Amino acid sequence: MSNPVLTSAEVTAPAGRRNLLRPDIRREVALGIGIVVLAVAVPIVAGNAYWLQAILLAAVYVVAASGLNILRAQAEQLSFGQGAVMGVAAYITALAATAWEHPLPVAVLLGFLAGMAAGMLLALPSLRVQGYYLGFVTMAGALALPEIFFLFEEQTRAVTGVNVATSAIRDVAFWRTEWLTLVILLCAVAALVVAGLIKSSRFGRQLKVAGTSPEAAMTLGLRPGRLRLQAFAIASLMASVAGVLYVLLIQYVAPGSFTLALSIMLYFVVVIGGAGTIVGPILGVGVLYLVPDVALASLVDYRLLIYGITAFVIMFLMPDGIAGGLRRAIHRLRGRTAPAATISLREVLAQAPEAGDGATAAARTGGPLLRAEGLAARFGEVQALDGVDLEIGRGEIHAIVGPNGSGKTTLLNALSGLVAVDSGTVHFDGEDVSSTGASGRARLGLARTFQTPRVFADMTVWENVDCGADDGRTHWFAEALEAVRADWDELPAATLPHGQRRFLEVARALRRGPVLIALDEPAAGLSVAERKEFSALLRSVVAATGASVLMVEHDLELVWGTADRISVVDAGRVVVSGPPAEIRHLPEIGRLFAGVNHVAG
Amino acid sequence: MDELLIILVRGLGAGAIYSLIAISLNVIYNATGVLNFAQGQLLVVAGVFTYLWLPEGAAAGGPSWLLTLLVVTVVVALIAALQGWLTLLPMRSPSDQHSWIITTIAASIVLGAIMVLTIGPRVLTLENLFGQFPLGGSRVPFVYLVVIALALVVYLFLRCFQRRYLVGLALNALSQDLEAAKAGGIRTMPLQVLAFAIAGAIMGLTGFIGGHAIGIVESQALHYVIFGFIVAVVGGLGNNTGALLAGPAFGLLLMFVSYQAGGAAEVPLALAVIVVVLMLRPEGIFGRPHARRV
Repeated sequence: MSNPVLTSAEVTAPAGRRNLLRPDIRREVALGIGIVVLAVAVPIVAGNAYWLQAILLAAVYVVAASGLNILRAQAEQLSFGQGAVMGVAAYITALAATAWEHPLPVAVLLGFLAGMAAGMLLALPSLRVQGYYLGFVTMAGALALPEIFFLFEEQTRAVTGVNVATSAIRDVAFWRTEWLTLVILLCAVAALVVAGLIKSSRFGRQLKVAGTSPEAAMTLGLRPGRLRLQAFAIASLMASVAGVLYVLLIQYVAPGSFTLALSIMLYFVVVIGGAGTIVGPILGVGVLYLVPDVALASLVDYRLLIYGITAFVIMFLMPDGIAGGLRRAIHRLRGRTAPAATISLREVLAQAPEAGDGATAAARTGGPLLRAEGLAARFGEVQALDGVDLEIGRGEIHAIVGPNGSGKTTLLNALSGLVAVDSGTVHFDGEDVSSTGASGRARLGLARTFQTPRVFADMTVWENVDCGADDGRTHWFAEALEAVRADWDELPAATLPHGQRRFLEVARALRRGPVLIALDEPAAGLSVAERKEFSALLRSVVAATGASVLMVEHDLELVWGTADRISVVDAGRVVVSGPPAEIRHLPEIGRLFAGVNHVAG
Repeated sequence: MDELLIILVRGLGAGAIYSLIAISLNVIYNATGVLNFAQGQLLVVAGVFTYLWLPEGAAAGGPSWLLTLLVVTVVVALIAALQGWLTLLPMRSPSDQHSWIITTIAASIVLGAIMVLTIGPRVLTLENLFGQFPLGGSRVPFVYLVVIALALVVYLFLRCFQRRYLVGLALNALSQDLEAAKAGGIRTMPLQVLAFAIAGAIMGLTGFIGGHAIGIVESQALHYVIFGFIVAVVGGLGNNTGALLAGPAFGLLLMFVSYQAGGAAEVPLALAVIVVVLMLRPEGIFGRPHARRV
């Protein structure tokens, strides 16, 4: 497929190479590693075996919780199955090492693989359901696990549990320090680093987008289902590692070690510690495991009471967890208030190559960019689309207007693939995309923005722009954006006012080098000045990129002043379509545009 | 054949209890969007209160029985109201990230811990006050039929309450659109706490009347709430009619399978049910599919 908007095939050097970890995340990872190393070192130096064992188990929990943290905070998947995955890995390792008489390395590998398999099994429902549905399903899975062990009592020795003999891994490596201690420490450090890497990466942001707004993810060319499975795979990997380490450390497993309570504790650890932070799991394990189970071991009868009340109180005082609450407090002490951010696309668009590069000229040749025929969609009793025919030319600004409920947004969704139509065909850039999904159409160059801008508040402006699919296409706009990257990476997106969020969404769409940008009510909520600016922006986008624009808009003045072609939709059909000058005297237009003064004149 | 009859009665009775849990989950869910994980523990609490407070020799329907019924129902409703209020408070913070998941599970843990501290981790067995009736050469406790009747009564009461009374209508409004109800001048917080109280009262009644049919032990609480959730989902979350019908079907299935394969198969089977239903029909068997909003 020839794509006139692409100006060069060569791939720009990955600018992220120089900082795989964002500076603030690097500090957090370093802090986390420091805490873990210190926590392990102190009991070794003090020669306190009881505390060393407790700290090492805490470190194992940190590994599992860090994985769950990625799943919960980065990919927005609610899972209560992390403890069950850990349990499967641990149990299979123990059985393989004893009943099945495999050497320990083989047993560890088998346990790890079994854990991964269990994790992916728990991940499957996420393809279909989200939110608390997913939470309850995974919770039912975690509840069922010990019962399954008992169902197969003969194979699992569920009643007695399984003892695993100590092995060479418990030999002393150097001065009082066992090999196992080093291995656990290494895994905990690795878990923190991986968490930091994912949080810093575009992949991490893609997980976030897919979890928070699957529609937005699809219009950016992402495949939310696949991303969810990848997130589950990472979380399961960490849980499986934790399960194997658990066996090596405790040397005994029984179904009672991996009840739902463990999965719930890991979930609590993530949220109470501070979901989405690197040190959160460490703080959570400290507060919810070390304090009630070890430090207050003399109050063992009150363990659950202390645990439950601690969780409750922290949710009350710090709704975003200990790490989130501490960060908030530090910011307040420093008196740091984020400035109201502004972003401008003008300077970026000014870097457009001369029109003589052929992009625009090429764009004007050939057939229509998009041709829809006979689109029909029915929701229950409502015939939202009733045989829509529509053509969008290359380099054209095409506006869809019509009364509320006439099917405008449904039409936009049907064209971008977010809504499945009952009948009709869509050809895009010469290809039949009727059976292509939203992310497939996005990969062909169809971009889309939403009525409510999908801006992810806990990322910076730059991160919001750079979170689409990496499909290797480069484009002058993406290169031009590098100039503002540093500035935009300083701005938290949460501080952007509404109008600016529109521009951000447009920048995100343009970064992917689209040939068609579909905008759903782009002027809604914009001030008069911002509307003028937006209108000018659309013009310069078309001029600079050669892309077409399709917009659904209620602001008829904006439509009249900007669009090359207007289609009027009513009751699921296109009733009139044509350039403003040709259709202005038609009665349908008069009725619709009655309030707009300059139309008549 | 006789065994099958007994399985039928027991399965339907146990299912009616799952229906009642599901209905109480629905009441809270419709008013607040919260799925109360502590609901199973409230059922256990009701059973414990019945065990502690019901005078020995009290006959079903007698004055001391009725008085204890009233006291248990009211006290569990008050506990639920308090728990609901505590759950709803942090949800008003702008930085709230589904804190209710933590706070309702934590409430369940705290209630369980208090029970273990006061009465120990033992399984309480409540007396069967309703007698037995002969069935196919065996005798079956009446309580299984009584809980089925209770489920019907609660269902009809809620239906009537939500259509005839202003407070019920306001609760109904919350379930249609929480934001719009707020904008319409309804003070949501007291209504939402009321929803928790109603759900608590349902658990109080269920624990008091049906306590003989279930094991009253803290460690079963999460089982009860998960089974209740499964019934609610199969019936369509928020849909009481669906919950009323799905409960007995689910109870029957569980009873039959645990008769065939042993009690350990119960939870894995329940898991299979929820996975299959969610994969095939996420909106539930009786739920209506929603058009996705983009």
